Amino acid sequence: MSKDLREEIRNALNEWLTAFNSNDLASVIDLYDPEIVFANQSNPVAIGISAVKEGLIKSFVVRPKLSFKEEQIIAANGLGYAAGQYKMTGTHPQDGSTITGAGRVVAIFRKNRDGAWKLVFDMDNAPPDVNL
Amino acid sequence: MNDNLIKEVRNALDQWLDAFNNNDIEALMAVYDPEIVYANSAKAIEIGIPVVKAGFINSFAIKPKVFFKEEQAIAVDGLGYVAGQFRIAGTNPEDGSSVGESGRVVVIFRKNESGDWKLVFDMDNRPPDVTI
Repeated sequence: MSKDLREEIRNALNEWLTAFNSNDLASVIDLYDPEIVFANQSNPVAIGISAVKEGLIKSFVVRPKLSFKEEQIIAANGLGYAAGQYKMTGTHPQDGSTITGAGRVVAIFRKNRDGAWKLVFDMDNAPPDVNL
Repeated sequence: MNDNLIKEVRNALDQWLDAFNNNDIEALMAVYDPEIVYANSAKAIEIGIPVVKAGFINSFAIKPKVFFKEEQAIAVDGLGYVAGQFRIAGTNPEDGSSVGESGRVVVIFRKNESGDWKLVFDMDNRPPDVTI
């Protein structure tokens, strides 16, 4: 397993986190593989960039911010993933109250023909041991 | 993407499914990578084969059988995954009643130095659209 490849996966995930935390829809969408599968714990599976984009537009209503703590990262030439805990905070658009959520997530990236890592699978759950 | 590699990963998953459905703990553990991370949605994360083994010994009390429906499979040389829906059915050992659950799962396999695919990451959740 290549340390450099793991760093590439970390960089790809950090790029996604930066775009997400800026609530920058175009930048977030640019980081997805056309075959993205978003397997959220609370919603039906979203397949493809259009479906994922629709969900992100709804999510950005609360101006969400995400933090992430890595638990495992493995990469090969062309495919890699990071798994860990996440915490989300946002603001209710109507009453200004704080919204929070936390859980575990895996983000799998695939390198495209241009050599760029793109998010191709994303799943989360909410187990009892998350402490982020 | 290499179709032969995807077949290899599917074969590894089938090996896991056969071992699980035979409730054969030793055959099941033979499919695991030493760095396995099992991120179940309902319990604390399990890392490493001894911890995962202890969990499955408990699970086998209900003589479980699992059914799987693939939704996505991607593989490169050395790393690959399959995602899809699952349903588990078993029998309560105390009263003989049927027990079960269903959800979505992703299993990531890594090829070891002997050329064998081993399960290195396993995560599930319980979204509302599972139909299996």
